[in-house]
Amino acid sequence: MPSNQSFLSSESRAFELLSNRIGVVYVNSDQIVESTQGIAQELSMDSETSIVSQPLTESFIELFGFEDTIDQILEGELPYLELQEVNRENEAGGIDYYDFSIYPADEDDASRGLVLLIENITNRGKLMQNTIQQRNELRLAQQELSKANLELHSLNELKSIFLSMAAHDLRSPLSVITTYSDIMMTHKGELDTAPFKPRYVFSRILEQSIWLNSLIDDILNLNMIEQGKFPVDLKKIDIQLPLTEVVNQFQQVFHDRNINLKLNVQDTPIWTMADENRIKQIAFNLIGNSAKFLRDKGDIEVSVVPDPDEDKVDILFADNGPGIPDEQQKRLFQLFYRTPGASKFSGTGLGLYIVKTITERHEGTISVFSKLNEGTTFKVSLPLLSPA
Amino acid sequence: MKTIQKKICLLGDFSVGKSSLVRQFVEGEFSDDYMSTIGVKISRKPVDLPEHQVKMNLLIWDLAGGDDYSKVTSGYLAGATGVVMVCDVTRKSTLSMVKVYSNQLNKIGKANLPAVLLVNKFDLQNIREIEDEQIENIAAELQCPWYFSSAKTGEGVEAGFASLANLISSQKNTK
Repeated sequence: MPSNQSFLSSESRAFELLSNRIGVVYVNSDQIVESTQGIAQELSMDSETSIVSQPLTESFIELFGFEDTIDQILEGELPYLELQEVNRENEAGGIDYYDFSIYPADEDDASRGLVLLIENITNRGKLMQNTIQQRNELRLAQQELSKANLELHSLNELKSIFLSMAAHDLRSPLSVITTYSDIMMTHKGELDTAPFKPRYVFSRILEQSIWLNSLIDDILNLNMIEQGKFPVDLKKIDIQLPLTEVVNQFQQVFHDRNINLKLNVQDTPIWTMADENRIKQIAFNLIGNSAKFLRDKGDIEVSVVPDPDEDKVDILFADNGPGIPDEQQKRLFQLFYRTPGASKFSGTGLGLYIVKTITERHEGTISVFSKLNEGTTFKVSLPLLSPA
Repeated sequence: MKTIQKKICLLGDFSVGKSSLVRQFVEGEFSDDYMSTIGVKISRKPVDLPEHQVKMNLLIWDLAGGDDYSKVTSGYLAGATGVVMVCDVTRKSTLSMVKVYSNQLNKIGKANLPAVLLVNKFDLQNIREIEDEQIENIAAELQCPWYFSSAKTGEGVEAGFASLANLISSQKNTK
């Protein structure tokens, strides 16, 4: 059995421990502080100046604005007020947690005054914070996961659509090539009497071969992009040369169609670090796209505009086609995206995605400006090679 | 210039960046580390309102988000003169939560409190899930101005809080 001495000692130790964790404030019916105990004074707004005789709601930042609520407790209309897990930054920069409660001092007569009890619940608070933190992180991860699942699902659906479209699109140019080749074979000795002019037939075969080639390129490129292996072979080139080559090729194709393709280049070379074949691929895709939507009539203009102030060169591919509605423009560069208007034309929804990927691999940017019934301009901006 | 003190509350789903917004607004700092708030943290920030010729000491109540919206009771909102609703532009569900908080305010008779809506994390707009039109619809429903904000870059933060302070001051002046 403990001696009186040790019992008193442990009682005072317990009281000391408690007073380090608890604060008590006695308040009169006018909401004025009458006395404090424990940690109450040091948690007040001005810990150096006694809060005795001060209004309670001006002594603790947490109680500002609660005058009416406290009055309701004094009048017996509310049993108590509780503010749980109030955060306070400690000297070490961490957070301490407190529960604030206001009760009537006399259960039978609330109007006689109130007690504010402040309890340091930091240990419990930290455990709770840790639990909530884990819960929230888990929820964020779940949200991310379900978002990724949805994307995967829709990508899978698009891939199926793409496969059936690709099969169709590969067959179309082939059948055109076969038909025209057959015509030429049938009339090989008498080309003058053939139902089509040979030049027209050859340009159609060339056009379909280009289209077929670019389609196969797109499919192969997509595969490489997905595997993270999409090589670009950067060399110092005059960016105008590959563009000129592509435009010349298309001009032969457009010869018998009412499409006017114009190239505006500079007199002097414009040096960039670029992959010549990839730049051609950009041009094939963007000019081919414009031609597709122009059908058999319209203008396409390719312009090379150096901007030395910004250390870049802009390549503009402009047409006077039907234009693209605003809401569709931001989705143009998404994988497999095809505008509703594109559904009547052959296409896979890969072209612009690949054009964007190539542009970004050159540390460039691509943007689109379009107005309905007026036309569309794609702007590919690539870094200029700084003069040595 | 007269100085007045006003309590405002931040409401919104968990991890929308409420505490980061307060930290950016009060201390001009930002940290990428995410620390969930439990309970409530109160900060102070003076705002000059020259048009109203007052200096407003804002007492900002940063309330825990998530399931704790039931805590948005008259107890916590007592004495509040305005609310900042916060959602995250990269998580669509957080805009729906703004509606939940707004309903909660209605339930406790605080529907007429001046409010602003901050569509936060705008620095991540490349992965945004919320369209302007959706924000405009909610803002029209709540009858409050809205701002894109980024606690990281500071964009829209001062403007959002200053807008609420002005609304509070205007409301007071008309009464």
